Amino acid sequence: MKSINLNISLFSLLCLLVFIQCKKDNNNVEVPPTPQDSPELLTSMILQFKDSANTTNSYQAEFRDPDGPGGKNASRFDTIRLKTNSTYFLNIILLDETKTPIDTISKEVWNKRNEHQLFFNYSNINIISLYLDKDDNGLPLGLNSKWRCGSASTGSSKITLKHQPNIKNGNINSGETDIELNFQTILK
Amino acid sequence: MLCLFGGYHAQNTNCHASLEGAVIDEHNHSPLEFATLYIIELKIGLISDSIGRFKFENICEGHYHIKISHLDCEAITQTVQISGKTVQNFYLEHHAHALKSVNVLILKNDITFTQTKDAVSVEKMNQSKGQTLGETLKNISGISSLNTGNSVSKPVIHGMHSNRILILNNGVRQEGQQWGAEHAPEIDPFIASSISVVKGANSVRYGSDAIAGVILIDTKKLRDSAGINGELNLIGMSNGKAGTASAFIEGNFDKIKALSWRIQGTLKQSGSIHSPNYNLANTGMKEQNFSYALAWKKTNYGIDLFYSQFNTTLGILSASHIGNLSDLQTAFTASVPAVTGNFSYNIDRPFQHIEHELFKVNSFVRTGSIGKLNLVYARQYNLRYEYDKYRPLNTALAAMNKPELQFEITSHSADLIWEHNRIHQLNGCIGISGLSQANTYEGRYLVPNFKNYTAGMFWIERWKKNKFEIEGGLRYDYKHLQVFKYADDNNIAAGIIKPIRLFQNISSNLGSIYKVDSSLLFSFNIGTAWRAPSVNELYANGLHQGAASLEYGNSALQLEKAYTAIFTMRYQKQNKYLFELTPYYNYIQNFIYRKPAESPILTIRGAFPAFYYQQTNAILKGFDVFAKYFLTKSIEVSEKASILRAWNVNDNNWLIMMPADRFETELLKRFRKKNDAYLAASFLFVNKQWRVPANSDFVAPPAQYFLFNLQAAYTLHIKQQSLNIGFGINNLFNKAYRDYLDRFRYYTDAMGRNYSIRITIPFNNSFNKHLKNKPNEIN
Repeated sequence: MKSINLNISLFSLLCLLVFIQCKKDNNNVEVPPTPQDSPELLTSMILQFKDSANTTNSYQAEFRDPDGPGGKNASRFDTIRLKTNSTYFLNIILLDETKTPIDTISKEVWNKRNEHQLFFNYSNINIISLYLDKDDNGLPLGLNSKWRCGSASTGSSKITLKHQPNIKNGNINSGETDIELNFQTILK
Repeated sequence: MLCLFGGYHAQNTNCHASLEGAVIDEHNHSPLEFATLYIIELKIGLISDSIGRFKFENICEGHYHIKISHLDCEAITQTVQISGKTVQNFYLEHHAHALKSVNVLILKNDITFTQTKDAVSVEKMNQSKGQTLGETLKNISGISSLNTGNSVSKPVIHGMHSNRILILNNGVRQEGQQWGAEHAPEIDPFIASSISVVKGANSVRYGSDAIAGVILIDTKKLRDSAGINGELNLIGMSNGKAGTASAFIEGNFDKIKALSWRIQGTLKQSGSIHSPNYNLANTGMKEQNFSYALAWKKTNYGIDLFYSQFNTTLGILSASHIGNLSDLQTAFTASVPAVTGNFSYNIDRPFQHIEHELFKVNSFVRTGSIGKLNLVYARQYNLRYEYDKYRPLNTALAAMNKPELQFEITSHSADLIWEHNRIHQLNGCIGISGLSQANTYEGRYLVPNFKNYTAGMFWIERWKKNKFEIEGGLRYDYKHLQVFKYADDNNIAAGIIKPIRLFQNISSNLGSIYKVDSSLLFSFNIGTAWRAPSVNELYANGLHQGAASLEYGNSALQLEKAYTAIFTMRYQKQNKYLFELTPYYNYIQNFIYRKPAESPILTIRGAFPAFYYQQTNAILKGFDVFAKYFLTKSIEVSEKASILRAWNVNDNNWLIMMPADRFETELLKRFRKKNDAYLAASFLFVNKQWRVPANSDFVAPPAQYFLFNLQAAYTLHIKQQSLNIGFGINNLFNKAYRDYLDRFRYYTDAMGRNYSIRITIPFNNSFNKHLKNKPNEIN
């Protein structure tokens, strides 16, 4: 008799389970989510150079891929053209152009400066750069920098943004690469 | 007939399991004397005594099909799991109109007769407890798996996976996001009492896209004798310090014989696993699953409900999250991954969370003496969340902690099948089926929202005479796929486009079996199957971060059509040898694959290799071997081999991502006198896959590897209670290796040595009056 009672009680439990409501998809199939709802995406890098000798003399180079990786190819990838034997202040702006209005990601990078760093690597070009900004731990960030240009040359400037949460140590090899752009560069 | 390959049982004086019970009339509960009971696998039979009782003794534990027949009743075939002293009563239904020789089709899949059905043996099922479905299936030759680390394992049949194989979960097509290489089947292996594979195109019965084969996950038949029984499984594993507990309890009422029920559930948790040389950070996982079943069964009609829920959260190896190609190169050349960390149960970003729900109603009505009508309705809901390694930089967004990618797909399916009883020498069925699906996404775009409708109809007939059987089937399917996406992702004002793709075609199958005698069997099947391109192949667009590649779908893809031939020869002698050879040849027209672009595409993260979905003609051919030889009565040596050659005809080159040649040898010693104990040592050799197209992968395929495994099991009897204990060591020598079909091979070595212990505690409480009244007469 004991087992009959057990049978009945377990069976009643099961009957309760039957009434568990099925899960539902609450989204509307016919209206896809907009890019506005998609996660943050780095699409564009704007390099704003200002001549240190005359700050009204400015120059801008851009990489822009407004729909991000995939889809259409990058719409713009400028060559950096700077004057020989001069010094420039560089301000880097990072954008998410898939959003309306355009989202300035460089602000977020500044807010999370302790876990980011931009690196500059030059090949065949006479440029030396200096960081002008630091994070809270005194490590460089790179949104603001100074580029010293030497004699006439043609080469490239590789700009890399690394995401290094809790492992930032000034080393380009740690963390993940968020940006890696190799700008053609001409000093004339 | 029922090809329990690998599950080779024997009646043997060294085995001590037994099956006893009574054969009882379903309606008036009177015992049936002179009922014939026949264990198909063992080819042994006996006749019930004057009070309906029977007892099979000295049989080995395992999973058997038992045919029970009686002069006045319809014969039934029932699957029984025999372990220890098993008590099972059988109820026969008086069926006045039935032809005496009619064999009721209890297992629906018996319809696919002429194609070899390979089941994972009971021993291997036990050894695989606590592992994923994909790993369990690898016990069958010809089956490999496409892995994303240890916790995501997708079955691959003869080199094909995802949308080219069909998983039939408890009679229902598993529908989720199966197109994704890192999307494993959302099934708790513990719901299955048998897991089997029908290799080769099997589209006619199950749906058009089963080009490579069908995986059948069958649940245990509900109890049909009064009483309660159940089972508790406890599994512990050293690598990952993983624990699994799974239990079921089922019953049938003495007073309401028609009503049966079962509740089942599984809990599983694993911490991060380790390779021989380092910890694999963030590879923990947890899983909670449950299911229930309810059935009301009468002679002429019956209905059963099944509901299951699968919930899992899987950590994704930290080191596998890379930003660009340079990161990938760094990861590959590093001898130790950048992030290893210490053992932890914590699951951090990146991780996946998946839920799958299945609700099924199955009903049948006997249509007089001529057949049976079966209706199955199922609803499936699948939810997939994928979290990136980092939260958004924006503090407000980060606080919401939303998945970066979310898919929800709801599927409704209905199948109406009429099986007719034997007319002259013909058995067969005819059916229609329909499926309606709606998919939505949130977060990052990978595949669009869509609605999918398919409808199909089929007809299969089987003709059998003496040693020869022949089967033919035809199927027609229609598929309507409508996608909803923005015409221009950057200009929503341009509006939503709703392109529709229609696909339709015919599948066919012709098969035969010739049984020369009880030891030699040939089967041969030819068929055509087709598959509509899946939604990712049509509309993928963007960066596949895990794969460091850009993928471009092709909305102009045409359907893929397969022409397949598969042959099986089985030669066996009980307790002496078994040899099974299965060569196959698949010609696939318009085979869809990812073709690498000639030049990489520049993104803000640097240049990425790009892949375009293209079509080619492909040949996938090879053979599977299973051989077993009994060195002595108690020592068995067995060999499994899987050989595949996959060729891209149009490009005159190999196809990428195909399993390498694989050989597994096992030496097994049974200690039959000691409670069905055994000790098995196996040796796995996986060759290097050098048959790959040049310049199509980031790094060369990994080297060949050898693995050694040990398995042992023992059954304890404490009074009436039996207890099965198993013990295993996988990767005995803690060998560091990487497998070509593991997507984490770019980043880490595979899992190191793993000790496992498994305990199964069955219990049975029959309170049938026939047994209770005369408990002592049974012996």
